[in-house]
Amino acid sequence: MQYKGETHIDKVFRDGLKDFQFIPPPEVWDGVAIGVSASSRKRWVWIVGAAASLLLFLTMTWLITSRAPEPSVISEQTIINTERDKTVPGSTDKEENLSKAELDNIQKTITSVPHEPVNKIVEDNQLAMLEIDENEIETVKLNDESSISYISSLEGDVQTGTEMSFDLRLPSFASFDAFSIQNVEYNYSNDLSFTPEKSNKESKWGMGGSMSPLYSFRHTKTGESQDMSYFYNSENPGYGFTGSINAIFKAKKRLTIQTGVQFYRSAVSRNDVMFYSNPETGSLLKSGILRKNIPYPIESSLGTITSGNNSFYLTDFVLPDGDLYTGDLAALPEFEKYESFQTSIVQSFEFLEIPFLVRYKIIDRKFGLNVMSGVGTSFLVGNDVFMNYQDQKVTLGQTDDVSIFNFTGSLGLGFEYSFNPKLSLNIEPTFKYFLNSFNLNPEVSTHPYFFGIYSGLSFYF
Amino acid sequence: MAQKKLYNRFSPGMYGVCLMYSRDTEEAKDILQDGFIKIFQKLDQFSGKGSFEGWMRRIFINSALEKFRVKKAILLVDEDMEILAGEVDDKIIDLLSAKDLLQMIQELSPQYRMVFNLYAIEGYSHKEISLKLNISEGTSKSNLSRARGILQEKVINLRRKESGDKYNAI
Repeated sequence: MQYKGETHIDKVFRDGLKDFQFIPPPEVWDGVAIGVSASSRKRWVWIVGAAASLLLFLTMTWLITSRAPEPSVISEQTIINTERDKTVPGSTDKEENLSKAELDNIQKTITSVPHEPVNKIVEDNQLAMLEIDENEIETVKLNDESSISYISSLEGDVQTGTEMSFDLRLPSFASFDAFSIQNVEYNYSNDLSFTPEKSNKESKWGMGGSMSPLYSFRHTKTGESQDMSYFYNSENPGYGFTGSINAIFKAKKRLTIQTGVQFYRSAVSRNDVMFYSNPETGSLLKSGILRKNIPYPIESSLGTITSGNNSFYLTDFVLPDGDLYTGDLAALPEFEKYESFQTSIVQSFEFLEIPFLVRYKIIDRKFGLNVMSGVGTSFLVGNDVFMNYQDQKVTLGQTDDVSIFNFTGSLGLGFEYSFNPKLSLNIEPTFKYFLNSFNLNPEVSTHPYFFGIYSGLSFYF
Repeated sequence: MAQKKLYNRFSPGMYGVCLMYSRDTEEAKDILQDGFIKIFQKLDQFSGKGSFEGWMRRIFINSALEKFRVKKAILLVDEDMEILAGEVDDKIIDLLSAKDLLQMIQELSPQYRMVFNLYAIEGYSHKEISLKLNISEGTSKSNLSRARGILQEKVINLRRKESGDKYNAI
């Protein structure tokens, strides 16, 4: 069969090579196995880290909320004596307004607030607003003498066999034997009913998003045995960006906790790097010397740059004495056939971070001001080195010996404008710093840092 | 191990593809390694429609194209290259081994090799090739024509050499 536009020579090559097979050398499988294993390990590190961070967030949320109980709402602290009462809220009529005559049937209401007796403002015809689940009211017949005596001392004469109802939602009334009310205040009135305190329905949960351009660089120190300062001095700050999706929990009126997922890309650039390339073929004549990860690497403060691109030799740069460092490259007989040129390269990194941030409002107004601090677990998800060549970005390889799993600390000062109680705009200059060394070389300690002016919206449900 | 079985089953054929798109075995080994890593990472993306081998083949070709694009940044094909192509007897071509054909393809410049493989072996149109290689359709046609010419010349030279060797041996 011949395709349209196909010549005989096309057909010969297609028929001869279409099903051409050749058994690859065994080292290829070794490389595949290592590559697959590395990518799989990276994925697991991310999943485990994410789960750990989520667990940490939930634990902290639980601790904060369980130690700060809301004051009891009066509607939940009502004991109603139902001896003569058939119209007590909790019946099917509970959502209807009651007449004054009906209210007369309510003999007593007892309110209590632990440790602090409270007199409530009471208005007519508000009892119907009480929402008491009748399943949580238990009627008890008073037979026990000590109980009768105690109740009588509080509420007047009570006969044996009198039925009383108790709101079981009150821990102190959960059992009759525990009926030792120390902080009870009584409101006796025939025409009074409760005005339940309006419960605060405002959600404590919210979500938001933010983004920012990033300025990034690093703080680095070398061991005494290795002075790399000359090389590191040639490095320049880079620029990137960040974006995040946030989950927010309002722990207190002024205190919020935030987590979510943040993506950020950063870069460090350097100028004085020499490259050698083969102008004829774009690849090495003596291939095999520059197999992956066995090239002439470049040391950087962030790690070792290695080339995954057979088209280029990388070398370190001009030494202080002016000599060109080329390693064994110059010894190659093919060296004369290579072109050299000086250019800049950029080390680019991408991270996914799960932050755990605490934010406190210093000024809680329409125009608010807050301070933010927190930590994060950051995963390296992108690692590239590229060269700027003739207005093109040419991918060279990656930076090796870098930490995939990192911890960061963040500080910020935020300005907040509230459109309404649910929606606000935030602008927050933030500084982020790596708490661990990103470079795994024990002789070098490198802590990347980032600065951005984050802007975004927060919405409470 | 399932991955090793899959590798053993398909690697000879895919290595053949990689060799066609490479200058030498080292480059082919790189493409093969990168391609299989991608395949194992993307296995769940195979829809089940069409041939699994065809899906794999496209991944290897795309891996080769990625490498080519990087090289292209510093490599300019000599468009004015003289082609000394003559007419080749069909019978002579038919006698060539796959190894000879592979060697001839590998000796082409990278862009000619890409255009020839994509057009003659894979059956892509010039429009599709122009998009994949970021060149014009005219350049694709021109490169194909020159690649054919070079290959024809190589075939002639090979046959001449083989004829000479036979003559000398006698």
